[in-house]
Amino acid sequence: MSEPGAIQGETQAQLMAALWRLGAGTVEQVREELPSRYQGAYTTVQTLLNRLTERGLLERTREGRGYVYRPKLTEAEYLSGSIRRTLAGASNSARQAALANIIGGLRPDELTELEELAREAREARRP
Amino acid sequence: MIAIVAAALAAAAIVTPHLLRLDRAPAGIASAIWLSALLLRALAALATAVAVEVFVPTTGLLEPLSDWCLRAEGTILSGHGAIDVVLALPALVLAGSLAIVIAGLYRASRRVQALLRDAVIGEGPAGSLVVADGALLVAVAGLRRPRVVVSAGALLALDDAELLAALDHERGHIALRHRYVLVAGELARAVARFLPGTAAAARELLFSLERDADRYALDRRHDPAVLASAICKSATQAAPPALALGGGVVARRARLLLEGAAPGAHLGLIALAPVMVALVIASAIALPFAAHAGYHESHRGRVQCTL
Repeated sequence: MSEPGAIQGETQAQLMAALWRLGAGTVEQVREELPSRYQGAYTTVQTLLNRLTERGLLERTREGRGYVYRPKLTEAEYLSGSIRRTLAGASNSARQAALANIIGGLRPDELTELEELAREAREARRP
Repeated sequence: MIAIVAAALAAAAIVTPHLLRLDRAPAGIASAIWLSALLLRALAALATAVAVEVFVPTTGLLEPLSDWCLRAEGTILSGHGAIDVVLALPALVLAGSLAIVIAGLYRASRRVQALLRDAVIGEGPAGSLVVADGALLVAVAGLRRPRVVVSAGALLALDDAELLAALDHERGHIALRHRYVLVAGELARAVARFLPGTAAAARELLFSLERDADRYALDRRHDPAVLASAICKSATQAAPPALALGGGVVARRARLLLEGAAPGAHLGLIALAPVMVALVIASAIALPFAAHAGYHESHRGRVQCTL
């Protein structure tokens, strides 16, 4: 069974991809653009689009009785790797001092342990 | 005799944190201990450079080199001059190391500012700034006016609970002023980089700060498993930014979160932090005086070259 967060993440990514293809769209237009596997109920798609708007990834404008959703970043920007490019060249410790972060690159020997910990975290979150 | 006792005390204070199990100590206490250890290491490196310059001449080892003078084309080279240059090398190397790190910090800071200028697309949740990038990043950027930045990749990959926990973790970094500790630690690491164990001490300082921010987030009623999940997801997602936290740090944090609340710290451990801080202050005050006195002692009775 996949974790709920992973499903939410995948669906949100699909919504963004649909909007990048459309340029802009209503809830129904976005829903129709989604792969069949992700075509949930109208209200589910609407809720997720509103969530992405609240998170700052989409903007919405009222048109008629509904809203039109539009991405605030292009797919090219999403795939640009601007963070990696911007910070390339600075030493690791300098980057850490300039940009204190919770996450980081992964050493190969950490991967197995982290996958195990992720599984433990998923189980701990289950009600 | 006093110098030997002081050196032994400093050495003991530098080594002690490596022998203790600080993973379970309160994160703030552990941070203070590791930062003090790094500063003591830096002072020890400076003291070593001073000792080379000041006390080596008093041993008489360089006497055979000091008695010659070379005169050519209006220039006078003396043994004293050459020896002074050689003796100053350790101090010059430390100054060079410090200058390189300061330049690196400046460059990194400029790049982060450029990132905020060019890639931010607007306001995100809870007062954060959204960066247009698919990499998974939740971070604090800026020294004077720090802001939480969150990438589009993170906004898509993290669920609501994970995102809020991650944002509170970052707000913890800001509220607890970790950026200043990080910079101080990085400068100390630059000066002490030639002492064994300095890289490990810097890594442990970073680990303690992350743990401190984790505690800040948990104090705001976030589930430890949610924060651990965000950390694991972030670290295992494709294309993370190359901002490694160091060996084992991510996994250790996630494990500590999943293992639950830490037992109360031993009183001796809590007392160690102020002792270490006091040692740093005393050493920083004493070092210039010792260097000054030693310099006068070593230059007494020197013979200078004359035309």
